[in-house]
Amino acid sequence: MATFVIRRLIASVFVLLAATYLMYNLVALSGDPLKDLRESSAPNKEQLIESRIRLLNLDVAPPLRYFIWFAGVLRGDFGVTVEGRSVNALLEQALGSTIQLVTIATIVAIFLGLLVGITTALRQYSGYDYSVTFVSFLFFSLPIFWVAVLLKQFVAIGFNDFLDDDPQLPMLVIVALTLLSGALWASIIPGEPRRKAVMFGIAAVATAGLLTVMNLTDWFSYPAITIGGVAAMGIGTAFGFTALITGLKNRRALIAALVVAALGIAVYYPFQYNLSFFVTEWWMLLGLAALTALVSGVVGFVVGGVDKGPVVRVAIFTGLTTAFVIALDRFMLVWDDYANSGRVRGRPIATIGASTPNLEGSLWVQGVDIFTHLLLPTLALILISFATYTRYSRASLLEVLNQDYIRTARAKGLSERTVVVRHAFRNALIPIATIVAFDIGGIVGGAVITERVFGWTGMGQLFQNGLARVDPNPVMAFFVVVGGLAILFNLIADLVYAALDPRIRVN
Amino acid sequence: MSNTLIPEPGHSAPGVTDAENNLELREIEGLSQGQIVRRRFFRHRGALISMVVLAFIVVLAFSSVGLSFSFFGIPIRTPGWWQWTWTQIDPPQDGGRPTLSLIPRFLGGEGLRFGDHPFGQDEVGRDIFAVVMRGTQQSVVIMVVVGLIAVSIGTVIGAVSGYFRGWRDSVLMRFTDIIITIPVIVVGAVVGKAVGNQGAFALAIVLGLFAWTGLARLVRAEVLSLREREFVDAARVAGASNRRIIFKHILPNAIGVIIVNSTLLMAAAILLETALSFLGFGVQSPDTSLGKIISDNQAAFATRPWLFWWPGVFIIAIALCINFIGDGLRDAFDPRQKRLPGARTLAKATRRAKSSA
Amino acid sequence: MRISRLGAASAATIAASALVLSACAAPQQSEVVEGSSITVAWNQPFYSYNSNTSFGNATANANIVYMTSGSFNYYDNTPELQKDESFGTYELVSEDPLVVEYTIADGVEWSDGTPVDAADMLLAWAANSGVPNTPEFDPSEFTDPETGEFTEDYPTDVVYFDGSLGSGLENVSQVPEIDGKTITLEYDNIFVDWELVFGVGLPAHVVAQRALGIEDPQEAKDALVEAIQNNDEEALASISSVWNSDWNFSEMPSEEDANLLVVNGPYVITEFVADQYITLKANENYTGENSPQIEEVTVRFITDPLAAVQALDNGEVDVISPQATADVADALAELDGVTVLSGVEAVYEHIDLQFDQSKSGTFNNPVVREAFLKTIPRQQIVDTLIKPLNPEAEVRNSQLFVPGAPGYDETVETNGMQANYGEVDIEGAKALLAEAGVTSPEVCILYATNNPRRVNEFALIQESASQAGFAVTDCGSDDWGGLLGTPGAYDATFFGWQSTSLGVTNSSATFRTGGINNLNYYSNPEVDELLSELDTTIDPERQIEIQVEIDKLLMDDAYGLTIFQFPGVTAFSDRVEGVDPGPLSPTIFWNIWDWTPTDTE
Repeated sequence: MATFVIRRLIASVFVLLAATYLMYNLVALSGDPLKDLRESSAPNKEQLIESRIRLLNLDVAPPLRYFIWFAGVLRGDFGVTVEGRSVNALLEQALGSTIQLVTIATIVAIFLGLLVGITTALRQYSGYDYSVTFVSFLFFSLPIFWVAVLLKQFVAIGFNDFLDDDPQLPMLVIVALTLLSGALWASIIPGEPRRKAVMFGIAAVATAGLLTVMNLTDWFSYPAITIGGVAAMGIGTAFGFTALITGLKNRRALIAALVVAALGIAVYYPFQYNLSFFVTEWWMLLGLAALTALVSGVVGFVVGGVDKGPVVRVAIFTGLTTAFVIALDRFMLVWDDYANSGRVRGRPIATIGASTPNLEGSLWVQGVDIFTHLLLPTLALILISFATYTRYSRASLLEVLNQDYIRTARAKGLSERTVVVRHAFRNALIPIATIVAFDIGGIVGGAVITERVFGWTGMGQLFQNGLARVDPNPVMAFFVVVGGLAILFNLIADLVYAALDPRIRVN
Repeated sequence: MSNTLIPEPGHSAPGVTDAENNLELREIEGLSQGQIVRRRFFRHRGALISMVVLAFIVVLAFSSVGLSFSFFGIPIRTPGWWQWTWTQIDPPQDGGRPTLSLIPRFLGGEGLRFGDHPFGQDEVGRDIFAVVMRGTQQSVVIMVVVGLIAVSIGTVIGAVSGYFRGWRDSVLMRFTDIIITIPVIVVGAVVGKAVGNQGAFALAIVLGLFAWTGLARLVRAEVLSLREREFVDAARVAGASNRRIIFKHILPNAIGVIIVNSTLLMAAAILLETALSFLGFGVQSPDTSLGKIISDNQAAFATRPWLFWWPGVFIIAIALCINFIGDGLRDAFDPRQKRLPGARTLAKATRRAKSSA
Repeated sequence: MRISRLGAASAATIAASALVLSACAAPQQSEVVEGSSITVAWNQPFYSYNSNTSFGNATANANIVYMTSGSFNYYDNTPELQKDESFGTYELVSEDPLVVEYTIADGVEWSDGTPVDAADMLLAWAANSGVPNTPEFDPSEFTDPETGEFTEDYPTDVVYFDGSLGSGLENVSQVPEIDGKTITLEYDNIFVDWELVFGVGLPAHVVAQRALGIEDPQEAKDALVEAIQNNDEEALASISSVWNSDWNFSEMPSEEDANLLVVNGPYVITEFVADQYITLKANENYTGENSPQIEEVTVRFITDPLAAVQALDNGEVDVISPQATADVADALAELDGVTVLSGVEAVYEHIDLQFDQSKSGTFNNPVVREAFLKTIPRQQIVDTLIKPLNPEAEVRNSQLFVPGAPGYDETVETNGMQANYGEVDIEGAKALLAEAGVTSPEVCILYATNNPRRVNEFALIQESASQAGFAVTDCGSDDWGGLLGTPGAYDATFFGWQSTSLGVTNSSATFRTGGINNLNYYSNPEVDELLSELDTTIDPERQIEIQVEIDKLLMDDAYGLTIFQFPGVTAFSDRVEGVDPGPLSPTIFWNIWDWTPTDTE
């Protein structure tokens, strides 16, 4: 195994070197780096041209200039841009902002993709399956910049207009959403038409009720989950996770989950109106999450009884979800202050940039600001990767469901939940895990267009500006990072694959 | 934009229950492999509709404004039935608004009519229908050329690599890695900047030269498993040459993987061209492509939406059709993802099996 | 003249009341900390505060420098050169030899309280004239080939100022006399554009503090003056290197580099996030007449025009000046509460014919040139492509004069561009072609294929010229800039010339035989002679006469045609008043101090 990894690593380094050589020459030969100066009518044009030639060694032919560049990279220096700015500094900023941009999008896309993929596989050839297939293909076929323009117009500007004066959902929208949610749940739930009809009714009434309450409480101006919402979510997830992981028959799991949820509800007031003011750094939030997991784990362990593992897991998942809902509620608490501040002026959803210039405020305000700026680009990125993940997870689960051992499990009389969650789902995850690894390697480089339309100055901007100005240095910095990540995650994908699936030998 | 399919693990299932088995067998009784595939494909309604729509779009695009390309420096133009060409300038009427109307008069519309410029005109007065048709032509050409080139290269490299293994495999796969390291959009942008002004055909050829990597890996994986099968041994014992074994015995069995992935690749190629045009590295003026029409007219979104919507509709239509066709082909070729019989069908089959026993 | 000359006192009162009002606007006990502000979108990030170096030479930098610096003069939106006497005065002491005396007004201070005086001006002269530079020194020998920075073995006694060399100040070759707040520049030769080349740049005391390690501002200044006057190469070497590179910052400088932010203008830089935005606040130490009325101006960097429009619509920015297209203008017109101003920029579109080294040689015959020019549909181009953006757009009829500038009407009457080529004359062109005895002459046109407007222009020209029998072919390329002037590449080309000032010496580079911007190999001894005279004529009346003559000669040679002045669009929300862009850099920002906030909630 170790030899395999080392061999692959060495091969990867050579692969990357060859790729950079190819890339460098492609970029350098793609145009004239002095073009803008040739067009200028500045009296000292000759001198400007001369100084740029000196700055970027343009008198050396690209195949050889590569080695000058390479010598710099070996010393950890990516050189300067046409404007004479240090590429290292640019790269640092760009990488940070791109990672911020793609992380949430990737996580949400994977989560949604898996969820939808699995449900469609379980309901193959149902109306739900067909609609999801159509929708995901549709998303996959949309040019992202085209979507971006629409998102800005309808989601950002439209929604902000909606917020502007007395935001109330119109009756028509409520009816439409009610029907939609009813139809969705009815098609996901298996069984006889009568059961589906009941499900439709429950979902529709719940949706209509929720939306009406939101309208009545002026929710869009003063969003909140309140302690009631937190309690409902906490208890709901307690039951949900227990049902999914151990089955409701496991009383110990249910008790542990409910205890954790109750703890969450108990700390609601102290946290919202006191403790949260002391949270001033992002790492504190992470620390709180870790603390929550720890406490929940301990509760699970104590209550657990004989089979502790699943109970602990149920408790941790419940605890984290409840904590997340409480944090969400805390963010909502500052929404009104944020939206009506002099910098935002009642139009919270942003169309451009990574943050509101000069906005100062607590961690919670900054969080809301990040949210309003991430919303549109994240939506755009999700639309695209969502399709891939649903298709792959659907295919993967379908294939597993047709395997002998699933038949065996069913034949043994195991419940459908056990068959799907314990036997099928885990095996279906194997190929998906490798795809995810591939994708993470590629996603940093894949956000080029998204960054441009939403005014994020990340890796894509670095690449694109460099290319437009025939400036190999920033393009190569981009490429070394993106190519390096691709190779690294390729390797990880192979290893994960081998580790998860004993049938595959790495050689 | 990663469309690399991972070879999915698992084996086909031999020991199925009687009821299921009979049901399956009845379905394919007395049919050749080709017939089975065709039958399964035509049962996929989405794929069937997509095929008709795609054919319609292609015929419309190529017949309406005619062809225009240069063959070894000799410009060739064939006429089309549409009254305008995509370079012709007719002073804009009514701000270039589309003359197409589909709402009948009794519903308060202007009645069914096409008018002179059904899709409208741009700011100097070019007919948008003609321009969009030309763009569609280019996009289709890019799609087909990229597909053909990538499939040929990918299949050959994958097959050789998987069949011979050893040093040939190592060299070819490391070469594939070099190409795969470079994100497609990056290659596209660099290449597009260099050859974009040579027209769509040149752009497509170069893109094709870089787009085969995913397919090569999949074909290799497939060939690796196929070469261990009995029929290959049989062919080898019978004295068949390597070339014959690869092309006559192994590849026909891998055709499912190849076809399915080439459709995905083609859909991705169209979107790639769109993205490149948006970044300004794609097809260059005076020629046009769907992506270029949209990105040139992005700002017209609110004011002259016909410049923005029509090309968008065609891109989505083409990509959607190709994706559905690919999905249909996948269902048809890949027996591992067969239709799970519904509970009622299964019960009925069991009853019948019992009564006949 | 549209500058409102508010007295310093009244401006200060208004600024103060704006501050008070904005303080009132802060909500009670909110978790958001705030004050009021105006946000402007610009299409390129700021990256260097020294816009006189070859690095920093960009509009995005010049805008910020402009708002944070006082100056002896600036262009208003007429455009006419305005003097700012609250900053300083200058006086032409003698014409031959050319001697100019500059004096800083009393009370003008840098934002750290150090007075602005002659030392600052002496540094500006030294840096932008390049006179102290070590002769025959080639900095490339000591430049690290990988990074472009100077290497460690860069000789410490070599002086090299990377200032705006070659722009005219090099004509002052002797160290100028200074006295308190006055500097006297004596030019070796007569230099007509003297008024445009001198101003105060970086603070001399900060440069000296950083270069020479002297703490006290006054001592630092004295040391700097001494170094320049005695040509102390060792001191000047480190001064020049500080001047060249220390002000290149693309994010907020750290605490210990805070003295890089010392300025003397209406605004100071308070916040700068790399590639996102830069924020300026009103300078408390500013005493000049251009007192700002908006407390805080943020410039956001937004490249995409449509993104800027949508950001304006969404209230994220208040003022935009996007690259103008008809759709952008239409989209802007539909926004509520947004004022749209159309105007012209200092760029003009023109079509040039190649006199030599052309692709087909078609235009070697003056009659064919004339025939071709007769087919250019200038009015149609303006009507279809420019009018939607700027309803008042007109065809430009002079190579040397901007429409509306003194002398323009005169030259249009005499040069014949309007008379002979005002309307498309297909019949006339056909007759001329018959006279020249050529049939379907080939014309290959070079233009920017990546610019939709130029593609449309080409289509219109092609259509029109082919009616007269020209075989117009497409030599367009997205790499057109690199192809300009390439022998044998094309027969005609159209693109835009940009002027950064109204200086008359610019024409020389374009029309003189062998000039660096003479890309069509035009050569006329008579024109050369007139240009030489123009370069040394200070009398504005005579300058106009000479230019009118040149204009006529160019037209007689069928040099080419000018088509239109680039349209510019500026849009601003109802949160700000007083935006009134001018054609020359810094376009929208020229009257930043006249902008007033209307938001008083």
